[in-house]
Amino acid sequence: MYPHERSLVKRLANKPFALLGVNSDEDRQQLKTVMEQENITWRSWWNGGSTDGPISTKWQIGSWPTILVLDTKGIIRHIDTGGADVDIEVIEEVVDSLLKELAEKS
Amino acid sequence: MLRTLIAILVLLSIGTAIQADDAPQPTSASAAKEFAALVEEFEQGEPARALAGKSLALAKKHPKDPVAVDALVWIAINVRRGDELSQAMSVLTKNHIKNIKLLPICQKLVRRPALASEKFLRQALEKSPHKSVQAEACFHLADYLKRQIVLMQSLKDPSDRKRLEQYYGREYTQHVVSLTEDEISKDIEQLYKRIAKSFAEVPTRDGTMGQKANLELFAIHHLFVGRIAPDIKGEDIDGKRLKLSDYRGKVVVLDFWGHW
Repeated sequence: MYPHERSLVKRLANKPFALLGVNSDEDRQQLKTVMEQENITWRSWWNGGSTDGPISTKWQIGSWPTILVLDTKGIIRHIDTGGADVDIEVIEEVVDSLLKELAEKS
Repeated sequence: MLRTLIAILVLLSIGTAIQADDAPQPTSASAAKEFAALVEEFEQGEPARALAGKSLALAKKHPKDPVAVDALVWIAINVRRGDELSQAMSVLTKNHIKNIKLLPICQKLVRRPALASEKFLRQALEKSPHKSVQAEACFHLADYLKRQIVLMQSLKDPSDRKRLEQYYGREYTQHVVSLTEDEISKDIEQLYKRIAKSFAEVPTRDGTMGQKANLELFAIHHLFVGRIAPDIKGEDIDGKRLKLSDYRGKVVVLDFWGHW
């Protein structure tokens, strides 16, 4: 996942776009090391150190990763609960079409 | 005259139902022994499917014996599909719907899609005198219906449909395609609302029924394509404040992840 995400962030650096995470790891210090090693530059909420943390429970997340795409108004436009099978290409298509929509409007 | 006759018949059938569950006759030693032998065979590795017929026959041979309920419940819990399962479900629905032993079946039926399963859950919800059974039936009926929507979508693909028809039987798949997703979704929402209203205090392994139903209602109201995402306010990995709604105006990819 990380290489796809890194390239997405790089490609859309100058667009109105953000990648945000909700992280459910147990060990925060260890996670910080991983993020440095993997060059994970985007921000993530701390889910309390568990997949049963407050954010993922409220959002009813049952598989990891689960990825959502939100438009500029905060409306959910795509949900992929595929876990290891998330379709990153479809996610990129949705993002690109939303950005295109936005460019055409302005 | 006809009406009186029907009333008498109804009374009679209620009478037998009460007799079957509220005043069970003592377990006959031979019936209990037969059932214990069957469970033993199962534990020794005999597949449930192969024992289903035997268990059903046992229940039919001793219809008023408490062992009949055990044998039928055993089928509902261990047999995934087939005619014996449907028959066991209809006998339980018809004669034993007030029995407390039905509690563990409700969850199992979520993965036993059949007309008899749905009927059982609806009847248990309406007729069980036990709040725990009603709550279980209500929650798992909603879950059952959620899976029915997924099945409905798969049935739209002609090649999938053929395979699913073979697996679930034509009667069931035809029933599913005759429904609309909208109707089922409304039904699901009503069931969760009913739990929140009438069974909120019933405990489960993970929180009360009310808490679980409210989570589901939250998802129904907010976590769909087309709905505004609920805000997330909290702190990031470094302990700095982070708020999702601050990102309005941007397209956001939100990734629930973990490094494992």
